[in-house]
Amino acid sequence: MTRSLVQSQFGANAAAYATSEVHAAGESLKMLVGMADPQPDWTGLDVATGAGHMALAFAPHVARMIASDITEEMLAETRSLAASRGITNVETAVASADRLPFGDGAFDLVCCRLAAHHFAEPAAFIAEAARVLKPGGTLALVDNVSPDEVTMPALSRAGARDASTLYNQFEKLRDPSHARALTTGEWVKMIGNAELRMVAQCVIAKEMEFGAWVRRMQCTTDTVERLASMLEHDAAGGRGHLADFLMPRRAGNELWISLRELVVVARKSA
Amino acid sequence: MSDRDHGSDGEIDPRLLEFLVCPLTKLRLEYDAAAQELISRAANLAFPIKNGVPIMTLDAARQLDDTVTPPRRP
Repeated sequence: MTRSLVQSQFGANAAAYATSEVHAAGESLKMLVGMADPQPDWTGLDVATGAGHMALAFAPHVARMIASDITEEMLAETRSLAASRGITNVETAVASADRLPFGDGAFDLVCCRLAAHHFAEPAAFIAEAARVLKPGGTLALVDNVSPDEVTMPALSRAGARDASTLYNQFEKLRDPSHARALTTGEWVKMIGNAELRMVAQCVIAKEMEFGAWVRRMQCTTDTVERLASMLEHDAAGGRGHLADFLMPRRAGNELWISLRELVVVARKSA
Repeated sequence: MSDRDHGSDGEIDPRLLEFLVCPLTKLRLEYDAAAQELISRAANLAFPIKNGVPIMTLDAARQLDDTVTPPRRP
């Protein structure tokens, strides 16, 4: 079997995601559960569950969750994390986000957190999510977004586009399985095209310590240097707007950057 | 790839089976308990079940052969 970049990257780093603070305890995790307003009789699907954090956060509030991921190793982490928390209403299935192996109208909830930037075809994923939702069902989505002129009003349209391109290059250098972080505007349009109605949306800043961020992907020294130089070059008055977006700053020996997460809840018409 | 079993009991949950369809045709699947496969007749594919976990990606599926075709008479 040919393994995709995503499967290779996450197969090797599966355990690092089970213990990653950003993924396990990120602000958007609780926020999304609150915004989605899960009900005890719901059946939910978590797409690209990774180590299962989103599925396990919803599990206590719903009847059952199915956690899917394209990487078998990640689902093993999901099951051991569920077992360690005594959660028994989570099942796992290996599936591709753009070809879901579930029937039309099967779920009350489809969620997906910090994963869609790995998808080759995010529009196909949204269409599949809309298909498997029941009428009135809820889509709950969190993903890293790249800047646009709405989220960065200080930049011109061209400046925002430049920052978006540089940010995606930066992410892809750190993690070759990164496909693209869409802009908020692109998500809103895509969700509307799938005939889902936006119920709530917000963008939150996520402060990341650069060292921990690159260690999680086991970047080589060379890659870390190139990433740091992208930040420095830009901050030192380079032509780009990467630093305007990531806002790199030193705190002692640590270098911190700000990423942005879009949090969205949308509903399929009843 | 690891064969370790992380707490799955090795049997696919019957409630999970009810939810699964072929990722290609979206049609129902046949469960072959002996072979631990989910068969999509329309797509001519068999999806493996490993330690109770269905592997529903196209690249993991086995192409069904056509040995069931009746032999031609001379």
